[in-house]
Amino acid sequence: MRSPATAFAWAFAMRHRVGFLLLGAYFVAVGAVRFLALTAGLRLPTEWDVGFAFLVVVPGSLALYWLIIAFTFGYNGNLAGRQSVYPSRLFTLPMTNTALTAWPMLYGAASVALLWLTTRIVAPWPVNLPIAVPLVWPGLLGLVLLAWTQAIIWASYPLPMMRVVVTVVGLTSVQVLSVLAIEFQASETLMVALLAPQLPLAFVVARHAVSRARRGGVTDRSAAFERIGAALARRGLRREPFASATAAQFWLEWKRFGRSLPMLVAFVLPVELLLLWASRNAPTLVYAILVIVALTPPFLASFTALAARKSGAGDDYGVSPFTATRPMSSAALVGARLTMAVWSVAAAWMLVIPAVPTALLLSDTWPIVADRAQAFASVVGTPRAIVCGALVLVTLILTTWRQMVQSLYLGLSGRTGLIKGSGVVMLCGVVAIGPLVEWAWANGAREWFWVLLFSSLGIIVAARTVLAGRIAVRLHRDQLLSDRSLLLGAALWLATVTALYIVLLWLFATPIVPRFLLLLIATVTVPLVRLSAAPLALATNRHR
Amino acid sequence: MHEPVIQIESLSRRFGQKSALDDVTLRLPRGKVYGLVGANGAGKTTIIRHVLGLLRAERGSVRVFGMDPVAEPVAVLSRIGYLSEENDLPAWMRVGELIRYTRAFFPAWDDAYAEELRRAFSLDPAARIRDLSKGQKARTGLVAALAHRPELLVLDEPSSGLDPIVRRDILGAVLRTTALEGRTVLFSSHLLDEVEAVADHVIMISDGRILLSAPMEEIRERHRVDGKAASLDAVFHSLVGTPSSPLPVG
Repeated sequence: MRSPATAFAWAFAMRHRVGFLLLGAYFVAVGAVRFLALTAGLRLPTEWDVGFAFLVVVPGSLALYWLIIAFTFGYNGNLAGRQSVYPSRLFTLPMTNTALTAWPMLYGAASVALLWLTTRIVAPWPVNLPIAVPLVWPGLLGLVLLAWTQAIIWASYPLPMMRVVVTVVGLTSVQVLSVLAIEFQASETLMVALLAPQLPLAFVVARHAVSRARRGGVTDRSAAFERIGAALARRGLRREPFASATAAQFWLEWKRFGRSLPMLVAFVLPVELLLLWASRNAPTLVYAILVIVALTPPFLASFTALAARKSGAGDDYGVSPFTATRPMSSAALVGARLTMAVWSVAAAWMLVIPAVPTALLLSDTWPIVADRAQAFASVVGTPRAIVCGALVLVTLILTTWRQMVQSLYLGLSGRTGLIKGSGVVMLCGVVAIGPLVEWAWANGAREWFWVLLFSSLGIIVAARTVLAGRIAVRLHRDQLLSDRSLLLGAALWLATVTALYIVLLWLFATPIVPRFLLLLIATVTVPLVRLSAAPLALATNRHR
Repeated sequence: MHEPVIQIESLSRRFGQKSALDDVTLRLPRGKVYGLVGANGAGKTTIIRHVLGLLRAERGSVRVFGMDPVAEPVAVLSRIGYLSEENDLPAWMRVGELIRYTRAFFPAWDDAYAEELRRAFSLDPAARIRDLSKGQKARTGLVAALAHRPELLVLDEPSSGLDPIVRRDILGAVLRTTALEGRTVLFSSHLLDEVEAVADHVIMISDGRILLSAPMEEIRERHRVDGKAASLDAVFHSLVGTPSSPLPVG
């Protein structure tokens, strides 16, 4: 390396080479789609549709967040802690504070700018958008977002959790600016004038943060809180011993992962429900808010699941010796985590269920929802309407739990390639599914809808049955589950599928929907393969 | 004759191209302190990880208390106390919480002994593990490993990077454990003087192969220089073929 600048560039490129390669491959693929569309005369989207959202908006946003994490060194530190997340090993390099701050900011800014310009040029933008897609300011907004995140993340704070609060407040302000700009169709010049001066300001703040972190210049004000915590802990430590190893392991899992989901929901829910006060005269907005509220726990569960599926600490997916040497079977260790997920989901929904009617009543929007519910009941009958409502609620709760546990087997396997590979496959699937469905629908799939639905569900059920059988054999052979537990698990699964099938039969008592389809849906809905693979994955990871 | 606590037969293990263990055979009877010595990367931790069931025997077999530690982890691990070199105790836990948590896994947990050890090591039960020094963390791990009076105590480089006072505590714990009838200690280290001080039996390993497995007395008898017993350091280096560390000039 000839200079610190080259060394920094090399370090970023090597650390994130897979991400950069994937991003490059994505743009090549999107460019190819656009080129083919233009040359082969295929239909380009005319408006802001699902296909475009999946093809460009979702991956573009994810790429921006990934770049922000990469160039803030967000992988390294504890975001909830006091200390700066800027890697302390770099503080010992013979470089000025300005250089330490400038290079990551510069490379990050260049990457974000490149991301926007490539998206702007390569992506097949819909032709009938209400506003012309700006050339500069969305990219500039990305740069500002990155620069302020760097400044906030690299600062040290007198108290733990302060960084989280500052990040949420600071970044929400920047996001609000973008929403207002789109809403009021702000001109490019105005937005540039608003955003550009923030970049040097963010740099000055970030440099100050790095400088203070380097010399340890932030006083720790958490000692008083720690004393209170220790005093409370002393009282807590006098509690009775755990009744069993299972209870102890559940306690550990709850302390590590269980509280995250209810805490996140408690943080997001009031903000969402506050919007009800602003939508008293807009029933559509009320329904939209309720849908968002209902989807919040499953959505947030997918994030907490990313942490909960890890066996060890940090970036490592291997089982730590501390966990691996617990005198418990792998099935019992997994069982404790599944139970934790049940309680975590229950705690999250215990917040949502009373909060929604309370907010509806207090915001005077209850009549809007009540009228719609009564209208629905008058069409399908009151009992069916009640069952429908209950079924939706149960489905949402089970979906939240499913989100938390369905990828557990991947994380517990400890195979980094498998875990990251599955993430990439999932992402590619999400990106491809929207345009594919749209294309298929527009090209004659409508006539084949039932055949396609039956055959794809049939294939899924057959594959699940074969896989479940193989997993059961392995669980039995490796003595991970006793015969009784295996039989009990199978019976429970069968009972759940049957119960769901009966409810669906009653709910859709119409000749239009074939019974066989309902049976297939019930079979696919209840988790089986991925859940039963979790003990097997942990055992493989634990005894390598 | 009693069944050995640890019985390893023709154990071989490869990590990619590197052979970590090559045809290792060991039989460790009950009631002794076994010092497993070797340079870094010699295969000490790999043997210990097989004993704990953290690695599955690719070739050969491993039996602990007559059982396969991979097939029967609960039965084996509930009789073992283990202190890891990495000392990966959950940083967010408080010392008292760790003791309360660990207690639940071991029916033979001795509350009085745990409290005695905690006091002897001056550990504040309300202190968070992440706030402890390296030595205090090792002591906390030792309380968790010892308080259920395990039949087999496994210490993987326990004193690596620790100050002499903590090392003394760990050695004291080893001696106390062996004072209890029938207990066995497997103790890996590259600090040969430490092993020499406490081990009844020494196992020397280099490049995944056992160079020597013999009682300490026998080693001293067999390797004499000018009528005096050679140090373990000198014996090890003579077997490995590297020059011994220079002796202090007196």
